[in-house]
Amino acid sequence: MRPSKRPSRATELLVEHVEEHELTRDHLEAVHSALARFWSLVQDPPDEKWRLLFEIAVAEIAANIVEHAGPPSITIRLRQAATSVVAEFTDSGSGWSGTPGPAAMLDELDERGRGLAMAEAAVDEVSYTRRGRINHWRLTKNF
Amino acid sequence: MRIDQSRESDQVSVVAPRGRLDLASAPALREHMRQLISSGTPRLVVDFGEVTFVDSSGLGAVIGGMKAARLAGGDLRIARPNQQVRLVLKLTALNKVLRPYETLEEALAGY
Repeated sequence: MRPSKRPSRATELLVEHVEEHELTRDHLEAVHSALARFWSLVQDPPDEKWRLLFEIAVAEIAANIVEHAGPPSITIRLRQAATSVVAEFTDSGSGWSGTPGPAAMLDELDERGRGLAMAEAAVDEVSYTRRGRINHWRLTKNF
Repeated sequence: MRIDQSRESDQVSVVAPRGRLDLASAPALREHMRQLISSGTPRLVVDFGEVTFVDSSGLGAVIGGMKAARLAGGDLRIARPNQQVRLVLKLTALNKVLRPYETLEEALAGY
């Protein structure tokens, strides 16, 4: 009998890439660069449209953190498992009082408030938790 | 962000931002379009040919420009979006109000 502690194939970590950055609204490129480095490590990367959708969600959450939480730095952890890719952000900025879910009704010509809805439309799951003084955002996109 | 601009006629201008149109660069595009509209050029074409990535703030600036242009009796069209810009327009259903033109010539035709 095989040991049962071995993680299941679905959640087994294949690639992990972690970066910490001092991010400001003028230096969001660090997030795009981190993602580019991650894709270069991923074996059999998904097609361009899939990767763009993931990048759209990652960019929206990063911009949201910079604009609303204003932390001194942000850690992004990118992981590939057998069935999904996950991006996790941790920061020590202000807490967020909302919960991800169906976005508030937006008029099609509203100029703000679209970011989280875009992230939710681009990936399979968006979650937010605050533990102590640390914010955690997690984006999951299944293959 | 670098924004190129060309005047096509008395009332039509092409605005061509370059690079990433995001939280950092959206205010510059917004201000650029505001100045064009207030100086009597209410018909705008935003040429996305050199835009590599757009986020919700960038989209917000374009929507703001369209509303200001319409208030001034003009309009806003977008041309030459790449795959990422098209995906974002589709995700937000904004492709219904901002129908992209394949080429600058098509965007300017009959404008």
